[in-house]
Amino acid sequence: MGRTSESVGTMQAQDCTSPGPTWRPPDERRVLQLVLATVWLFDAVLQLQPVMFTRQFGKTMIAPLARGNPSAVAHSITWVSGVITRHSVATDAAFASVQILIGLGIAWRPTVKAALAVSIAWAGLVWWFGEGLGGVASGVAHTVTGAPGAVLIYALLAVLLWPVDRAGPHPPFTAARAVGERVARPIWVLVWGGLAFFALSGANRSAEGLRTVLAQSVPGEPGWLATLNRHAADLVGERGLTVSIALAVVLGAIALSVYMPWRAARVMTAVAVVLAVGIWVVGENFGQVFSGSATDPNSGPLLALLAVAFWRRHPEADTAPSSRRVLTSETV
Amino acid sequence: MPHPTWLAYSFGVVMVAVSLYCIAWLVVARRRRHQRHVDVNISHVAMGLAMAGTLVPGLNVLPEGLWEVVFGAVALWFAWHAVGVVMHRVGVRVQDNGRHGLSHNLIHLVMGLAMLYMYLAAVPAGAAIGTGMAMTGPTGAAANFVGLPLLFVAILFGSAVWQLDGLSRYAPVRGEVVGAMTAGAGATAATPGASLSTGASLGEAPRPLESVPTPRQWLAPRLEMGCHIVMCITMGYMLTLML
Repeated sequence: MGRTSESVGTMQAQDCTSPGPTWRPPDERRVLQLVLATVWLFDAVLQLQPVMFTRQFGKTMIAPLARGNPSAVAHSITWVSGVITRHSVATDAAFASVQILIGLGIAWRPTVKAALAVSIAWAGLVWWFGEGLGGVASGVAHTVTGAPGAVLIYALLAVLLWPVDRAGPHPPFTAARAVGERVARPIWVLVWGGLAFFALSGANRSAEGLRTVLAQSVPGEPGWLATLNRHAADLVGERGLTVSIALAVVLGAIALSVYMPWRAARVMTAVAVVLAVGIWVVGENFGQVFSGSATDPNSGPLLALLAVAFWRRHPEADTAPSSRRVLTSETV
Repeated sequence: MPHPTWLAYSFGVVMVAVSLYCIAWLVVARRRRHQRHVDVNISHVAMGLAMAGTLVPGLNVLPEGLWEVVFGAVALWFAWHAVGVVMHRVGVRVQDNGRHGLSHNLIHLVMGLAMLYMYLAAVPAGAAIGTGMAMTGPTGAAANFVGLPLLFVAILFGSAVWQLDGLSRYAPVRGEVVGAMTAGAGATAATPGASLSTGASLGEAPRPLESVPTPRQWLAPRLEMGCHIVMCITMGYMLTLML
């Protein structure tokens, strides 16, 4: 399948002083890109928190990620953490700057492609060095705590929201506009199927596993959140395995919903959004942003954003005369 | 945790620059009879100076307690106009300046409330003049309301990226397109009340092509939007430190 004119291509071709009349209001995909840009900006300011400029960032936040990883990965993380510890101010300022530029770059139309491309590369680096492969290799990954690494979803969203339209029939959801349905659907299955897998992997199969994860309180978190965590942990109790199996079943159904008829797909996508928000609040504690040491809001908001990108259009909307296919060359 | 002084100073200097720019903008727009967003620019000046004073205590221009009054008034002003817009939409006749849309008033209401929150919930760090930020995060009961600044941050950053996305609307117009725009402006001006519909103000959703204002109507729109973006990011940064 070929590609139609690129969505932001028009803006770029007209140089920076492109006349106003070529501007189009944001469409669905552009709105999702802007939400992604907002999250990147938030990441950037989290990186500007005082603790990030100290040796503590490299020593107590990056270095421990090496534990449990394969030796090559562990060595590379240890080396990077050493560099960050020695040059904490310079490295942190650089990290924050990159993230600010990514956020602003996605939001500014002439640079959206460059910013998305940089975000993919940056996400890869962060996943390796900043998240220790999301705990996948070390066996500590858990769905409710952000496995397999929030930053992977940033990269995935950058690919799915890439401002290009493939030629052919109108895709049934926004995420398929750039890569096509044949790629987008397996991605969805992989993400949610992967989450189902991590819900049942390693220690998460034990009776106490989930309760232990939920009961972990973060220093500095508000009282109501700590109480919520305690209640959730008490509710799970020693039925950790049962709850994990139920969670995995729901996640598996969400994964397969991308091949379901549109009504069922919509229901499951809505369930995915609700589940993502629930995980973000209860399991991820809002990405622990209240602790003063969070570097991102974790995977919850990104999963919700991903789900919205897969929101199925009404089939009749797909068969409508597709004037959009002509106009997309000027829209983002 | 001590905050890097250079970072606070950098943000502080940017805020002072934005405030001075907004003052200059108001003066020039008045002299050249451009469309003026007086309420927006005055609130930007106040927010810029207040944030600069918070980031760098030596730059604080108002005594303690007065900023709360200022931002209370700012919030009330934009809340009143937001209500005016809503009432107008549902058919109730109210006095409204008609220059701004609902989203414009709401985002500035949020900004005013965010500033108010910063002053009411934050704990003075007791920093000496010229050193670091004068505030730290809330403690005690106020610490349980950290969801509020998180909401403010989300709205502010959302507004910043939305404005940045709309920046291309106001790129310079050249050649025959300029003529077309000018002619369009003349036609617009001839229509009673039409000028009210031109120019999406700060914080408003980007509008369709036909509502793109001409340069004469809005002085340096991209710079004004840039001020708003910088303001939102700085405010979001300060609120994040209070989470």
